[in-house]
Amino acid sequence: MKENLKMVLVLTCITLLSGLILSATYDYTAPIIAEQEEAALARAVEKVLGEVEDLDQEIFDDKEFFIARKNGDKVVALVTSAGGYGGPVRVMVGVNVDTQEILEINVVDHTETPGLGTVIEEERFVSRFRGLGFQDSYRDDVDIISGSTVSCVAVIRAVEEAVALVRLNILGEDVEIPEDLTPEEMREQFLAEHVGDEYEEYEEAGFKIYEGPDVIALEGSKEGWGGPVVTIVAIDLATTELIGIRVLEQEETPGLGDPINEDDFLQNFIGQSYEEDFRMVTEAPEAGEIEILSNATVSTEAVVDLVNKAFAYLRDEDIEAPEEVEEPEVLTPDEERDAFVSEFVGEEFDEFEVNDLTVYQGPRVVALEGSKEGWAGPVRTILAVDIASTELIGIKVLEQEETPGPGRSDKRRRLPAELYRPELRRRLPDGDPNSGSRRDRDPLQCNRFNRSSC
Amino acid sequence: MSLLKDFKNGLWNEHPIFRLLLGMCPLLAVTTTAVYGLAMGLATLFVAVCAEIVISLIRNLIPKKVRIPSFIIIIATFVTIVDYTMAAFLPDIAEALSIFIPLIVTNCLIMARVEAFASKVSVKRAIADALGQGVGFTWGLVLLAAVRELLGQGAVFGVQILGDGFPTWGIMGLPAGAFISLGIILAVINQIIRFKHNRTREVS
Repeated sequence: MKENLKMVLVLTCITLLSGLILSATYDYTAPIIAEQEEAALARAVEKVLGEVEDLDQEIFDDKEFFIARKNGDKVVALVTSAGGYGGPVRVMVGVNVDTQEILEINVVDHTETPGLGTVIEEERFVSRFRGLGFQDSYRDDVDIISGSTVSCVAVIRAVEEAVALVRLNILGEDVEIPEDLTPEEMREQFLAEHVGDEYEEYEEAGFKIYEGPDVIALEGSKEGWGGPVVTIVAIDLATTELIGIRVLEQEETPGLGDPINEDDFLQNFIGQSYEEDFRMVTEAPEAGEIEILSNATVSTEAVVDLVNKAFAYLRDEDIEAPEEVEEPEVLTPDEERDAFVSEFVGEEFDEFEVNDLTVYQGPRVVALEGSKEGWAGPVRTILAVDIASTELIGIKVLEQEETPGPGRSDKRRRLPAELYRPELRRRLPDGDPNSGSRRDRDPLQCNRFNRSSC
Repeated sequence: MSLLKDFKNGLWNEHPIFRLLLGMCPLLAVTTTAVYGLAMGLATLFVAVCAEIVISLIRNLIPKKVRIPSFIIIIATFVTIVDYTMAAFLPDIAEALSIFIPLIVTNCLIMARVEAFASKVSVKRAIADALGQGVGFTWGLVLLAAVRELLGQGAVFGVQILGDGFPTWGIMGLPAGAFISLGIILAVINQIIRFKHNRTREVS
């Protein structure tokens, strides 16, 4: 009791003192740290805007806008981000609002591959944005550096967002902000727009189906180029026409496969009746035909196939349910051992340990399990020996951590009988007085597990 | 005499990096330039000295069962002081060292010295030991960082040494470069020790 009390007291005193010291340190350093952070921010702003006057901060859409005057013009800087190859790429974009052009961009933070994606920090890429006017898209104006497509596209997307935000919030223009909704939010939006509030939700034929009174929505997934492409379509049950389509999830190559996300592409599906499938053509699409997006064949197919499958479902045709990939059953070493023992030894056996071996002795077959240090760790092996013929009839490696490739030839299950060599047999556990001189007797007839014939 | 021995112990015989292989995480992570190595080393030195002094002073008051939490709180206090102070006065270095300053708390070097040494000896000896270990850790960090900076950027402490003709090794700035340089330095030091050992044996 006394000791417990002492522990509590000592720890309390230590934490109390520590808290006091830390709060004093914090009080002293906090204003200095805040100053430093402000200075760092000012330096970052200066980097994209240059020398400015009347620097002011304002918040629109949860984003900080740095607004200032430069040579009489209104200039704005803000940080936006877009997903790159290794994570988000954060870009500070400086624009001149009066002349409507980009002054300078600065990649603030990124985790792209050194040597490849890091070119987005370099002058030769950054300079491509300088002096460009306000536009919806910069993909045609800014050349992408080969080997860093994803990183470059991330910067372009961040700049597009920044320009759109400035036009919306500073200039008051009516522009659409490219926003990143989660698949769930998109689905919700889609269902609210097309199906309405009341619908029944169920799964059938590989589709998630949302059935409303007038409209039915089917959501399915199909393998694209970079992973599954999840698409949802809405079909008017009265007119049989497709009235809405949206790609909810995709991991296609940014800049190549991801136009399947865009309205220009998806618009082509609208109005088609489910009585007729879409055909894919390479140019000049007519009604019922979809033009394959160049460089995005696989991604296009993923969407078109899924729509056609949904149509087939609605026509009540038999469609193949998506194959469910059966995961190969992975047995634990112990389960493998049990399977091995029941296969070779049978159901009845005595289990005991001799030296370092575990022995499962059945009426006709004996199995021995042991472990020995391999290259990278213990290798646990079990083998089965027919007592009467003394032949090795089965062997299996239960556990091993050997180098994949060279060390892993554990696929052999049955070894030829000649592998059961006399020198191997001599390693069988010894020590039972009854079998003392077994080497003098016929080695083929008498052994540790076959004493009846000794 | 004994104090000098405690101090010198950390410089070579029980060098925290090259002999005990402690504190590998900051070692590999922040040694991209010599300045960062030095800053990290000095920060660790400060925490080691302060923590060893305090713990040695109150070593008889701390009940055995709660000694580890007590040690950690004390170490964490000093680490936080370093963290705040660096953020306030050396913001660029603080940003470069980022998470590895708070992580000094978990640096085995400090925990091990506190547990194995400071909690058992007088304040004088604890100070000598902390200084030795801290200085040893610092020179180890600076050595590795200098090698990496020299080969990776052609400079040491920001001073350009190798001419423009030298193709800098980008890998030295990456973690792989840290592992490679550390491995080579360790091999050299082991060789020196073996050589010395053999010579003393021959002499005797």
